[in-house]
Amino acid sequence: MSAPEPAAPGVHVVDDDPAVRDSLGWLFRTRGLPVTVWDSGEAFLAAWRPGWRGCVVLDVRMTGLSGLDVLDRLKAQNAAQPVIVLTGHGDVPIAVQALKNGAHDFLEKPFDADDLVGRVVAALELESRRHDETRAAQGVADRLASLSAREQEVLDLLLAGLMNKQIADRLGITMRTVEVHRARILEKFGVRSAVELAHRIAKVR
Amino acid sequence: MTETSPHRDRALAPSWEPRRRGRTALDRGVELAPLVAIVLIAALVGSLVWFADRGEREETRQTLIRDALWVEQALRFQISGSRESVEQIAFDLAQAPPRPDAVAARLRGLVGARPEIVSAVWRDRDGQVRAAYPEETAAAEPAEEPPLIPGLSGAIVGPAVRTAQHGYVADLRVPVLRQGAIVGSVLARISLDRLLAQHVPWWITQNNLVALVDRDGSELARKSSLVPAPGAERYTLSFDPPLPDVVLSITTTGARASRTQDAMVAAIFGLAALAALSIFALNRHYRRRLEAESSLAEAHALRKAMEDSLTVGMRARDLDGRILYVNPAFCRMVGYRAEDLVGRSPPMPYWVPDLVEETLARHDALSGGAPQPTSFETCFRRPDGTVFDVLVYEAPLIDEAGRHRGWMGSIIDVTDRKRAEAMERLQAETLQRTGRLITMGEMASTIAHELNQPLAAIASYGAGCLSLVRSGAFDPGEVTAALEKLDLQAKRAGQIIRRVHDFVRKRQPNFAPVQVGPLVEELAAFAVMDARKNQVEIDLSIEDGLPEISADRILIEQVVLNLVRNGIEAMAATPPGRRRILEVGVSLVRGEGGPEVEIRVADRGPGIEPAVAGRLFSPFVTTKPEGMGMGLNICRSIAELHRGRLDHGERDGGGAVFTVRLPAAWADAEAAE
Repeated sequence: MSAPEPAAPGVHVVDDDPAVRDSLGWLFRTRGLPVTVWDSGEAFLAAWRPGWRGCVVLDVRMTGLSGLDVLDRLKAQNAAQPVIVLTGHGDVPIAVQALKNGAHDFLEKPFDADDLVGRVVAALELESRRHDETRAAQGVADRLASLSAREQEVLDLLLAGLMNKQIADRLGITMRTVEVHRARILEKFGVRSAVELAHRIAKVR
Repeated sequence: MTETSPHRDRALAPSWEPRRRGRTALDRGVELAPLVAIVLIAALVGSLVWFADRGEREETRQTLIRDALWVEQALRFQISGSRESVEQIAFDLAQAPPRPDAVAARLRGLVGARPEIVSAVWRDRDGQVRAAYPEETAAAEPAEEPPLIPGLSGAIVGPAVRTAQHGYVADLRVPVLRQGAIVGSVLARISLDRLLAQHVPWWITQNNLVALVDRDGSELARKSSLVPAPGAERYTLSFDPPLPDVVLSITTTGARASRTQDAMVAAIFGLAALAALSIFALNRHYRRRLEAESSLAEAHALRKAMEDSLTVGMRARDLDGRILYVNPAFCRMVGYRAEDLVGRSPPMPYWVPDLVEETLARHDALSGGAPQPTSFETCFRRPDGTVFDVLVYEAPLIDEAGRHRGWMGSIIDVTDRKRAEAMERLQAETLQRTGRLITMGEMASTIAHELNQPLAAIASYGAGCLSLVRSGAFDPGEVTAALEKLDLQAKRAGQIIRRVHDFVRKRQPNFAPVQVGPLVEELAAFAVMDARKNQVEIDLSIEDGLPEISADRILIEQVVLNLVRNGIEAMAATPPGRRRILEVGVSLVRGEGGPEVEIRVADRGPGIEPAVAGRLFSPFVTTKPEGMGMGLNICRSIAELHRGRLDHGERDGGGAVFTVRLPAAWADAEAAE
């Protein structure tokens, strides 16, 4: 068990069967996907950190913590990683339960290895996209937080679609002052127009 | 007309109010007629007797009168004879005065000739006794002599007087007249007793009492040995003259004929009474008989009703098997009428043709055997061909004298019961099958999971190898290693399948000599994968020189594998600090019945909770969240199948120990066989 690279996107395989664990690790490596294997849910959760990237492949039936238990604990800690659950053949109720509890996908054993790889890749892409979005949203939020109280007021009225003149009247300040505030807001968000600004903020709100 | 049953309080009565035949007028008539006849006969005979009696009485009276007249005649004749004799003497004395001694001689002659005359005296004119016979008579003479009436020459008889010597006597006095003057008298004393005694003949006194009485009715003399019955026929005649104031009375003494008649009458009435009595008794007897008959009829009716109401078929047969009796239930059961069955000899129409041989054989056995009650099940067939199951109880038919006369059979239609039983059995089987299916389902699920693991691994290794090979740039060593692992997993899957196959397949235990040591060794190797997964080490110790046991190898494998896996699973929760060692040992021990091979599996798990320990081997008891609780139960069954035991206990220092002991001695015995 190599120490995982916290931020590196990759596949985390959690399975108590050594053969399955080993073969899955080997499979993902042959497809060029970084993989980390865990022999139990307990071991995985003990090592897990909130900032981890990538996806989790979780076997449902394990001694100790079951796959569903591990899923619940991950969700309780707002883990953003997509979780693919491996269920036994015909364990449809468990699969449904897993999806309800926030699993990204499930796969019945015995599975087609390529199918599994495909789903893992899809999950990784999703995770990557989500990660970017999260990062963007985080930027908007940071910028909003950096605005002064007056700038905040001006931004709200600006997004409401008022003209500079109207904003000046509404706030009881000169039009010149409004223009200065507006220029600073655009500068802080790194956009050139109010339309672009509105688009950026709408994504977050 | 219905009379209250006199047997009301008897055993049969309370709920059974039978139809009773009342006594009719005819019955009473029949009862009374003989009585009336007897009364009539008695009356007729009585009146006949009465008439006869009356005639006889009349006759008796005639006879009596005749006798009386005859007696009177005879007595008169005698007395007149005596008178004449005395008058002769007196006449002679009047002719010439005789010598006194001559007169005495004549007097003696008189007394001698006339028995009724007890004494005679000759007196002279002055009344002096001149001669007397017997002589002493002259001295004592108290009698009142009749007076001599002058002018009268005839005899005069005096009144009857009682004397001491002769009872009542009457004096006959004849005057001696000589030329019209009384010169003396001759007096003869007549004893009335003697008169009767001497002159009434025996044939009169035989039947009659002859008596002389005075006017007052007092008896003066009598002749009879018999005392007349009161109210007897009596006839009286005046005997005056010759004897003044004397009456001749003759009374019949109730002759023998009369008594016979009385006896006859008595006998007739007695017999009539007896007849009446016997008729009465007969009537009583008849009435009792009638009652008995009626109660018998009641009892018979009740018995018939009971027999008719029975739902159990009854059949009586004689020793040859001929049917003597069948009840309606039996007829209903077999569908034949009683008339068709009674009197028939085997084979019976209701026998099932296919079973005739068997039935005949049983019948013969029954006929030849001792009279013991038996029961058996068989089938009967109705005329329409339907066959039904019956339960037959045969009991010997013993008559009153204790002789074995045949067989009494009670037949119960058990078709419904059998059907119910079959249904129940079917249901039980269905339930069992369902249970088995559930178990199979569980097993299938477990097996699927177990198989999924190697299959997933195989699929992954395969896909990985494929992509490496396709990429064209790969390390052959890497691919070889993966393929080796893949091969191992394929073998693992194969083993699982084989195990399942062996376990599931219904098969007879196949006993063969088994070396337990190598068997356990092999299984331990197989379990190593499971053990490693749980970080369990298997510590194997197998004694040398163990005897072979006779066992079904696969079953024993199942037991050992089950115990080993249980042990491994039991240690899954053991804290990491403690060493997870599963001890598996095989050794020879001395058992009760000889040497035994003991397989011992000891874990370091939590042990067995006391609450579970008692019913550890019961089905569906488990400590595992997903367990079915069948394993140990099956293991114990297998151990017992091999005449061995499965035991469990606490291990020193924590954990549980399971031991299987399989007898080695039995194996030898089995082999010898």
